[in-house]
Amino acid sequence: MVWHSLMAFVLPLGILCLVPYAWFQAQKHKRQALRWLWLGVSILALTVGFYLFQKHHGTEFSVFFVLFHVSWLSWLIIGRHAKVKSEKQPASYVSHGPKGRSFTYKFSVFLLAGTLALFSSILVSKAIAQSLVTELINQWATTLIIAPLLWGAWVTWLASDRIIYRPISAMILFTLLSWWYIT
Amino acid sequence: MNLIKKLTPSQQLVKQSLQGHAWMGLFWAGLLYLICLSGTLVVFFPEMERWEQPLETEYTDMSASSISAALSAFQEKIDEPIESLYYIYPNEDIPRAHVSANEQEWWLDNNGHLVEQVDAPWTSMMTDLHIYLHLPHTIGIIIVGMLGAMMCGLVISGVLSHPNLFKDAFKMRWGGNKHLEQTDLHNRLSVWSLPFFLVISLTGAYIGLFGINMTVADYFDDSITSEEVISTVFGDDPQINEAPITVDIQAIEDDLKKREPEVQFLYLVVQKPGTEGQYVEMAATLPNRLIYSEIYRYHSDGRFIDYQHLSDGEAGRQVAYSSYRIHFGHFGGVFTKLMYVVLGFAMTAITVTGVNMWFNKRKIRNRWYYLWNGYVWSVPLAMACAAMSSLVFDLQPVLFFWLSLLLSSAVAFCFQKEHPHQKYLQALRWFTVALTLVTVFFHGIYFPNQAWYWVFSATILLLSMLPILNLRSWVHKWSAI
Repeated sequence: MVWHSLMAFVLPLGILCLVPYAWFQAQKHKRQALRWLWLGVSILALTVGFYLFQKHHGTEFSVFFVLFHVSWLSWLIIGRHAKVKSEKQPASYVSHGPKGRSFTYKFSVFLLAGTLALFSSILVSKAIAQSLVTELINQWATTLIIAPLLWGAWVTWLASDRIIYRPISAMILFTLLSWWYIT
Repeated sequence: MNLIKKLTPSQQLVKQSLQGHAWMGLFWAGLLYLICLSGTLVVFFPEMERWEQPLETEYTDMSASSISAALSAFQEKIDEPIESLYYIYPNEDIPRAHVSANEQEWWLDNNGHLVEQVDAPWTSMMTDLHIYLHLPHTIGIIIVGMLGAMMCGLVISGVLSHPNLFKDAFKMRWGGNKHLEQTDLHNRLSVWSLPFFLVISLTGAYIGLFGINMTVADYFDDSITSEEVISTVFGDDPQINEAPITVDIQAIEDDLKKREPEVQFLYLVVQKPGTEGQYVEMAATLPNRLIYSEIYRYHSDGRFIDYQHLSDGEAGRQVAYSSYRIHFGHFGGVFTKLMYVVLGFAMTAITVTGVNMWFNKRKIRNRWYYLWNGYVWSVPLAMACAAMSSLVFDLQPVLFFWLSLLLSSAVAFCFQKEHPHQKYLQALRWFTVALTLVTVFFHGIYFPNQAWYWVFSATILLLSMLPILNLRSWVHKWSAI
């Protein structure tokens, strides 16, 4: 039982630990050759870690184990090398922030994000899925996965562009094109 | 390393992305924080349910005759037509079986007797908070799904607004300048947990926005209806027309074990019981697979009909059916759950530090800053308060959650100076520990000999104590080793 746990979890985790550590070493060195060497070690550790996980947990679990476990392992290394300073005296604070855009502008972005952007993301994802995937069942799965990503991206663009007509025009154009393509 | 330079976004793009990132983050922070924190805790929702309602007898196996007896007894208890009659097998998370139908659920003992009604209002409060934000279900799940999509947007804008993503990958300045500390914490946590963040947001949005996607597509695509889409993705129901008989559970279990020796039974459903359309669905998990289950369909006498091809059908169906386990971390055992809790807390911390960064960068200290900080520490307090109201006083947890959250946040809004505000936050953290302690002991009075109850209670207590520990000194010690 102990041996099994060791091989199934502890060993691959230990090897995965090398991934952020090798990245860290690659950053420390100035010479390109050494940097590439450490990057190579990092990729090798990732591959071996994946292989060991896969042996005990199958491919599906291993993909997520490798993706997710690296996060907390890297935090251990970051914490280990953190620069700790004593807290500074509080700076002088202000009670008001800089004046931003008007409430109407913000509210209209919010409304557009909830209506046009959502509507657009669903139709555009459906059109993308329909153009790239042949099987109906896979088309729907693709649509359901792309739609939230696209919605998030549209909203980000709406919120970040100084000229709001740009994202609005793009969204309307892509929506109409998708609508035409679907029907 | 020229490639890294080439991949670095332009200054203009960084500035715009940062603006969009800050905008969206600030706007949704309050709700995102609720979703992240509750989501982190409900990774262990089966264990929470077990903890909330401990039973004397626990077991991991039940005979087919006991299951039949349980289903018959439960059917007699429900004096109305049943569409689907469920029997949920005992498993490692909850080592006891239960039956459910028409929104009624009963725990069973090892012999199939109905023992107690399933009653875990605090766990329900927590899961409903994560899935519906305590709103009516249709609108609630759409809003939570929308927050998932906004998180996807935050991931995209966050990556674009971080030009030194690779260069600063290991930079952590702890203490000193508060703005730099919060920035490093926010960036290091988010960059390294990017895959987790994206996968959780995407699966959350997928689950939440499924309905709205169907509706819009149904409206614009004349060739297919939303019902047809659902049956395409998840499979059709079989059409049965034969006289109803008592379900032969033993025959079904034996047949399934013969077909798939490695499966673990998850639940059994008698569809349309007592009618000519009666048939049985057996859901079972397959080893090392992310799909929630494969569903095998049987006639009542144990003859095999077919299975839904969730495990070996089209990739789209497999992906769609895998989202639940990926989102809730219910794969790979307790280690995965623990990892999800750690990464979930990181997600929660990213939400909090994001807003803190905005205030610290502008050196703003006003009522809104105090309200935000007060809100952050009021949420765990409100969760503890809801637990106490439900487990100790048998009161409505949802009501007490929102009441205590509103009240303690409102008090924070009244502060005008940093020092008393900090003291108030510390008091909130201690009060959370105190409420948890009281709840654990007063609820546990009835179960003094249940070892599992006390082990889980100790874990909850430790968790509630984390915020009062001086994390800074821990990092100091760790970096000094």
